[in-house]
Order: sequence, then structure tokens, then C-alpha cells
Amino acid sequence: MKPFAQQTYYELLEVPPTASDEDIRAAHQRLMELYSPDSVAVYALGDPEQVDALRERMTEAMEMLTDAQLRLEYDRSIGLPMERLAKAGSTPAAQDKADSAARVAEALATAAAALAKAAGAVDAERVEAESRLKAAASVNEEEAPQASATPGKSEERMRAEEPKRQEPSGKDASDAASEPVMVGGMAVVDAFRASFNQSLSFVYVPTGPLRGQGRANVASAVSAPVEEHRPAVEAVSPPNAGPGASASSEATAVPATAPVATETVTIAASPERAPEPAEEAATLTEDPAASPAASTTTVREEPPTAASAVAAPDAVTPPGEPGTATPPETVVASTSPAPSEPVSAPGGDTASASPVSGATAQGESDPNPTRAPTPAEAPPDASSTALARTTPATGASKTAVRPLTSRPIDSRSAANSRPGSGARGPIGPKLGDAQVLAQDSAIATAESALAQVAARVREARPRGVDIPADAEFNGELLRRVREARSLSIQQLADRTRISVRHLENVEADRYTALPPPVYLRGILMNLARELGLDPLRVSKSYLGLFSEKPPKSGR
Amino acid sequence: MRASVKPAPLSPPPGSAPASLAGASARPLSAVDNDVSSGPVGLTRKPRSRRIIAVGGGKGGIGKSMVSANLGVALAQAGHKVLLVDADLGGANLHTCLGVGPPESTLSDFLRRGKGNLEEVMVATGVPGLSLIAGAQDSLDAANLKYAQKQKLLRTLLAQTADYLILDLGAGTSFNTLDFFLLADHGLLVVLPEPTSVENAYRFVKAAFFRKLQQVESQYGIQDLVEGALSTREGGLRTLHDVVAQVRRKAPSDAERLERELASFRVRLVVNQARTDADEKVGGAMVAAWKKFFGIDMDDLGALRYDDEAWRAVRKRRPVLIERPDSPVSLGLQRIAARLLSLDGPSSESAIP
Repeated sequence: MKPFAQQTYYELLEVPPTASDEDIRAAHQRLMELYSPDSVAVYALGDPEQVDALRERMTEAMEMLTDAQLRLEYDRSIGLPMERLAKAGSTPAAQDKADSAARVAEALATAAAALAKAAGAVDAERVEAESRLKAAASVNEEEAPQASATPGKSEERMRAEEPKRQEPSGKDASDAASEPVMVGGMAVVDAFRASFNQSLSFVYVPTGPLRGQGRANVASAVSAPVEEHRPAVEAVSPPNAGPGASASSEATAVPATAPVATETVTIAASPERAPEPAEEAATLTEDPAASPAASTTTVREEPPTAASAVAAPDAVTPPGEPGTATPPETVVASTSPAPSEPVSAPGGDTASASPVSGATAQGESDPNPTRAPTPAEAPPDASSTALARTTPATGASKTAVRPLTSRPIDSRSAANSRPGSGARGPIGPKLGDAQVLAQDSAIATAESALAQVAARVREARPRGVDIPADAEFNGELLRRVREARSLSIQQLADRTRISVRHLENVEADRYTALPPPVYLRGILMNLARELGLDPLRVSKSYLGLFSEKPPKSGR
Repeated sequence: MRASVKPAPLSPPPGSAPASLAGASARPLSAVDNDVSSGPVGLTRKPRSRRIIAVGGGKGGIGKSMVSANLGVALAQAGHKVLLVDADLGGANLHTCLGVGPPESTLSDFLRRGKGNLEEVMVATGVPGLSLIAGAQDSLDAANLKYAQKQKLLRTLLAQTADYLILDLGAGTSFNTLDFFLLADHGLLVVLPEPTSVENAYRFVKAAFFRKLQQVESQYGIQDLVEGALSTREGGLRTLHDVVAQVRRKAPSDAERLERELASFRVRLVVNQARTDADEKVGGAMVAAWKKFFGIDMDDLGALRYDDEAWRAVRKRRPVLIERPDSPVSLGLQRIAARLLSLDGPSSESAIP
């Protein structure tokens, strides 16, 4: 017995999760007739608004489920097995788009790879026995950057890659091709959501692949910036990171992500650059001041997953939505050197950082300032390089470029703002994987980006980190997330067009003062989107509380 | 035709509800409360020996008596021993539907005149295997059954040994009516495909479920909740979820039992006077909508076509099933009877100890 407000879309439409689009449309059609206002069968069954609400939700369900991408995401959010997803991916239509998606994925991968390497380098320094072993393997790879995929990692890569290709279901892929930037942003958001659902912690592993697509676009755009940064970054990163950064362990997730990143790297041709950066990095490391240890640390863990994903999004997002998921933030950070402006602003928002933060979390509280300098140094070269690279990867280059120019400023601001210490992430264990990839050379490039990301993460962390996978999104939590993004209610109201009164009531859990579930749902979705949370999860969770707690006023 | 009827889903095992009730009332607390609470709870402790079908519907004039009478005929023709009871205390006319003249003895004789046993007031109907207990019609306050009288009647009805006991209920949602309805294994809900009837039907079912809750409330400590829900003017049943959720918060095992208990009582819809194919689908639609809104299963037993033969048969004071056995409405009635039989399993006799 479950009121329809809590039913899944499948239950609502009374179709099995395996239903085809046609089935779903037919079911929707039938239900629309059944629940039409002049249907005799539902006369006086409930309040007319209830029936209206039901119809609305059914239509929403139909729209969600007949959109391949949204359905994937939804299935994931309700914990359906992924088989269907794979199936969907394999459909002809999906395959068509696969190519473009794959391309994007590669671009992303490259970016990720760079990050991963950087991370790996850092890790290596920090060192855990295990990680070192792996690192040794990775080292070989590093030497042959192209071969980036190490044996151990191969599995991971496989996973990552496959998903990317399968998932293409989407419009994302196609869109990406045409409009890299925008798409990237969206994709990232989606990806983020998905990951968020599964678990806030870094461990995207499952989702990771999926995101790949979305991010891919972004990544391509981003990747360029990242590489550019490298030089600057290099100086800062390795040394600092090592010591300062807590060796703390990274989340298990890290390994998985890292591999992916590495893979991409190889593809991307990043290898060439990597070596150089490494050298630079070495030199840089010497600089105590620069030593944004924190940054490095963050880099390691996050780099693989967060970095790659994030980087792309940021680049993309800046133009579009500031509020998007954490990944974007992280991205921003990494990219920040280049696109920092747009990013920086949004960056603050990125609560989503939670995943990232977890990764980065390691605890270093390095002075971001160091990073800022780096970008500045890099600017000239970077901009040019960035452009060049971007183009190849995707069309996104433009956006990426723009950011670059602004970047110095932004990046600094961002860096300054986040002196925080961030070592929270439990990253240690997986560092090993990262290490594998990590070579000094690679490190340099990625580091800068990572450092920035890390900084962001630190800031964002508190919010994100606090949200466990099974958290209930009550008003209190939503308020905390909002505050973590340093948004006032008024600002939020302006952005979401939800009235201040409603927002206040939502945050205060004043259920009786809130509109009926239909409208409340819309409000929550909107709000969650703005906060970079998963809209479905938030609305489901909140409405659950809403419906189970009898109104305080009593009836 | 009967053979083609597919077995209906999920008919509750006979006696399952009583068993769970008995288990519940064995608890010390509820045992005390039981004296105060309504009768059926205590009564249902005894194992039943036959199936009770209650025919209700809330609104008047929708064919409850017609359905009861003809269902009785159909079941009797199928070889079962059937007792029809006119429980429409204020407006009894089941005897007329069956062509039995004004009966010599009625239910009120049993209730008020001290006739000790129901057999004494039974009337033959002319259909083999089908007997009738006519409704009270002499006293003007016959509709207002006293509590003790109701208890006596309920108890006696439960002790009947006929294969099928069919209760023809009156209109409205008085507690008397609801208690008879809840007593049944099959609560048949007659509904016409028109808003007035549908509205009353929903109200009737909601009332029945809350009456049911009331009967068990003391076992779950949910009196306040139920009272609150009952006093709510509209959309009351929405809170059925709340009730269960509330109970769950206190004691998950109780909630499970309560849910099972609520689910064990199934309402079965009969759409009467369907004039179009769309009308025939109203039953299924109501089942789906009910489930969607309240999470409770109903069954759609099928529709009866609007048929002038039914009206002619009433004018002749004869069951249409006997008068015109191959008319559309008769075929529909046979289908429903077959459906009920299949719900009760291949051999309902075997259920009799």
C-alpha cells in the first residue's frame, strides 16, 4: 500500500520496468482516459485536485520514461538493475550516437588521464606499499604514456569505456557533438546526479562510465585548459602535495576512476606534455611557497574521477549554469586557471562537490594562493595551447578559451578564498591505483588543475560530505546545502523563481503551509537542481517525509 | 461458460481473517476491549462453515436485490444449498424479486418474537436448494436494529450451514449495513456506471474499511486515529495509509497484521445496467483507480448489460434467470456466479468441515 505520490513512475503507469516506449505511451493514454475529469469511474474517488495531481504525475512519468536518457537516470535513481540500461544502449539508435559519444569520451578521458597522472604522482610520493607496487606498473606505462592503460587498470578502463559507448543513448552524445559546451554541462549534471544517488562518496564506479559520455564533451573542452595549466601547476604540485597532503587514503572509488582517466590520457596524446610538466613539477616542488600541498593532495585522489569529470563540466558550465553539480565545481577548480571566472562564481555553489570533496578530502589545507600564481604564469602559453587542443577534442574550444583569458583573475580569487583545509577525504587505499598512473611527468599537468579543484572541494566539502547516501532531505538539510553554497534565500528565490515564502516553509518543514504535493514536487525538483542535488531523490525523500508526518495542525 | 472462467486472483483463504482476529484478540488488552467493540470481531473466532456473500452498494435502486436474488438462483442451480437473507431491514423486497408473496414469517419474527432458530422463518422459493429469509416488514422501526439483536442475528447467520449465504443489504452506509457487509467473504458492490452510483459506491467502501478499522482498532491502539479519520469529512480513506504507517511506527509486526487484515477483505465489483462497452469497463477502471489511490485491491466480477428483460422479469415478479435464462443479463449473472464459484476453489463443498 503506497500512496501514488510515492509510487515509482513504473508503478504509476502500471507497467513493468522493462516496458517499451510504446507500452508506456499506451499505458499513459489509457490512464489519461481513466482519470480524465469526466471519467465516471473516478467520480468522487478523491479530491479533484488529487486526480489532477495524479494525471500530472503520470504525464511526467511518461515523459521521463520515454526519454532514453532520463529513463536511464531515473532507473538508476530508483536502483533498478543496470541491465536494461545496457540494453537500451545497444539499441541501434543509441549506437548511431555512440561514435560521437565515444569521441567525447576520449576527450574527457584525456583530460582525466592528465589528472590521473598527476594524482598518481602525488600518491606515489605519499605512498603506501601497495600503491607503490601498482605505481611501479604504472611507471612503465608512464614511460609509454600512450599505453597509459596498465594491465591492472585495463579492467577498469574496459568498464569505463564500454559504458561510455553504450550509454550514448543519448541525446547527450549527439548534442555534444553539435554544442560541446552546453551539452557537457548538462551531461555533467546528470552524471553527477546519478553518482550522487548511488553514493555521495567518491565511488562512482558504477556511474562513472555513464557519465563518461556526458563529460566527454566537457572533458575535451576542459582537457585543453588543463594541459595548459600544467606548466604552472607543475611547479606547485608534486612536492607540496606529497608532504602536505595527507596520505590519507582515498576512497576506493578512486582507483576505478583513476584508471579511466589514465586511459583517456593515452588517447589524448597528453603523454608528450606530461613528461615536461613532470620536470617542471620537480623544479616547482622545490618552491616551498608554491607548495600548495593541499592542492596536490586533492589532486591525487580526485584527479581521476573528479578531475576528469569536473574539469570538463566546469569549462562547459560556466556559461550555462553555475549551480550545477559538484563535479562542475571541481572541474572549475581544475580549469579555473583558464576559465576560472565563470567557474569561480559557480564554484562556490558546487555543493555537489561532495563526491569530489570526499576524494580530495584528504585534508590538506594548502594555501591555494600558490596555485593562483601558476595560472598566471601559464596564461600566455596556456591560452594558445588550450585553444589548439580544444579544437581537436570538440567544438567546445571557444568556451574553454574564454575562460582562459579570465582565468588568472578568477583562479586567484578562488584560490584565495579557499585557504581551507581540506583533508577530510578517506582516500588512502585507492591512491595506489592513482599512483600507478602517476608519474612525475604527468603529475605536473594535472596537479595544477587538481589543486584548484581541491581548493574548491575543501570549501564545498562540508556540505557535500555531510550528505550520506541514505540521507533524508528534510528542510534542515536543504538549508545546510544552501548555506554551504552561500546562497541566501532571496538569491535562491530569484534563481528558481520559487517564492521566498515557499522556500522558507520548505526549509522549516512546515508541511501544513506548503502547497499540495504536486506543486511541492515541482518546487523541490527545481530547488534541488539549483542546489546541485539530485532532484528526484530530493523530492522523493522530502515528499516521503511530507506525507508521513501528519500536519502539525492536526486535522 | 463456467469452465471458461479463469480462476480469480487471490481469493483469501477461507477463515484466514477470523484466524488472525482470533489470534489478536487473545492478547490480554484486546480481550478486555472486545466486549465493548463491535460484534463481528468476537464472532469470527468460530470457524465458518460456508461462504457468505453480501450484496451492497450504497445507493438505492441499483439492482442489489435483483443481483442477490438471481445470484441465489444461479448458485442453487449449480447445485449448492443457498440461503438468501433480506438484510435490507427498512425496505425489504427480496421476496418480491423471487415471486414469493408476502411472507408469513420474517426476520423480525426471529429477532423480536423469540423464535429461537432461523430455520423457523425460512421460506421456500420454488427454486430447488434456494430458501429465503424475508426481511422484516411489519414494524416501522425494523430498520433500527438494536445492538443485541444485531449480535444475535450475526451470530446466527454465521452458524448457518448452507453452502452459500447471500445477504441482500439495504442502501446507505449505516453501521448495521456495514457490519453485515464486513461479515461476508465476498463483499459484492453493485454499481451503475453513473456518477451518483459511483460516488456512493466509493463512499460505501471507504465507510466499510473504516468500520473494519474500528472493529480492530483497540488491538492496535489506533482509536484516536480512526476517530480522527472518521470525523474527516472528505477523502477519509487517504488516511488509511496514515493509519498503517502510524501503527508501523509503534509496532511493525502489528502493522503487517493490520495490513494483511485490511487486504483480506476484498470488495468485488459488479457493474449493473451497462449500456455501452465503455460502461462495461467502468468496473475495471474503478478497481484500478481504487488501487491507485488507496492501495487496496478490489475485484471486478464483470458487468451486467442493461436489459429490458430484467425489467420485464421484475414486473412478473420472477427472477430473470428463470424467466429468460438466455437474455444478456442472465448470461452476465451466470458469469458472475461462476466467477464466485471459481474464487472459492474448484469444490466449495470441500471447505465445509
